[in-house]
Amino acid sequence: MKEKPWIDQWMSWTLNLGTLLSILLVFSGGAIYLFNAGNESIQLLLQQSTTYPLNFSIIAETIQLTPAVGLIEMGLFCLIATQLLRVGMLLIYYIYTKDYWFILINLFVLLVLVYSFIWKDIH
Amino acid sequence: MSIILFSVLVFIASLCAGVIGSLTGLGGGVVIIPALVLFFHINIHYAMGASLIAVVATSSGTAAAYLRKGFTNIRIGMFLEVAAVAGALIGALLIPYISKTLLTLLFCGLLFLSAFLTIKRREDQEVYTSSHPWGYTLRLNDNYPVYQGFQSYYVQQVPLAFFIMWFAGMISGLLGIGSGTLKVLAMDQVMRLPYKVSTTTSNFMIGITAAVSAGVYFTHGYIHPIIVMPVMLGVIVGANIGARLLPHLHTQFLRILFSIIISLMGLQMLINTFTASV
Repeated sequence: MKEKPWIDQWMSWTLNLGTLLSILLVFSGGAIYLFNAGNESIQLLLQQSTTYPLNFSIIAETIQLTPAVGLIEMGLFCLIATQLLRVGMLLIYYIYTKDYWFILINLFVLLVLVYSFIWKDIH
Repeated sequence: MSIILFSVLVFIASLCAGVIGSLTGLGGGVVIIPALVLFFHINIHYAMGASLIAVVATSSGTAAAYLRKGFTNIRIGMFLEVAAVAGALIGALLIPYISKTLLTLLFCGLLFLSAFLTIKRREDQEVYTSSHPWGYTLRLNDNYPVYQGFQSYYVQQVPLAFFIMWFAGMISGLLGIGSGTLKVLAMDQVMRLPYKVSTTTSNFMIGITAAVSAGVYFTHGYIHPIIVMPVMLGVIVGANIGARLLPHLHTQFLRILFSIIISLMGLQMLINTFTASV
């Protein structure tokens, strides 16, 4: 059973816009970063034992301290948020069409997506 | 090496990975990760994180195009996504408990499997006129555009495909790839969907599965923005170039070449693992 064409179009536009916005943010941040710090050594960044945890509060902090890196991180989150948005759009569509199985299915997928970002804050 | 030189070289390598992935239809993850580890000596966790972001970015772009053309079966995609995201979450959460050596060995195994599946001849599709019961309950059966109109298809072996999706999601979470190969395998060979429906629906799914893994990788700290930036941009440009080149190239030859390249990469990673270079 094919979904109504308008939901296909809306999802297509959402994916395109979200990806484009993400590319713009990452590119802008990357260009500014390379202009300011491009001559520094890469060795520190490739240390085997360091990790770089990210969440919304860290990004907000990073934007204030190093705007270029903050822009890149914003772009990456925008890309992931686009996936959340498209699942959310489908959920709304299935609620509108009263498709109960797929309301449950989309709700589960959306919850797992959200949980993947907040599990460390919960536990 | 300066950061700018590193970024340019990684961008070029990622561009090549994007072109190859686009031409062979198997995604860039299996090329990007070994390239970053072998040539740039990047920590495999960072390489996997960068690969995931690149996978999300490229699959979003191609999924948008396929949705408009009417091949993607959103219902099948979202139904199978239940298993895929569950597997991806479990796989990604397990990462800190699995040694880099084991991860590398698993990844090498996947490279060899991908090489084999790439050159394996596809069986011709039998046309089915009835569906697995779940296909009727969940209204998964559909049609897709063909030259003279639309061709109907009916889903088969849904529970087995669901299990394979869970496994594909687990691999995606553990190894930082999209698992497109396994997804297409499940839909094409198990559910017996038309190949174009399988590939486009897989493309639709990959972004969501990889986003779940990426969420966990973000919180683990395996997504480094300075490493991801040239990878993401390079793969997107490469995928676009590959899509434009595709109609003009002989894909069977490319698939064989791709299989040889990733087999050699897998072998090199194995050697490095046993000499403790990863």
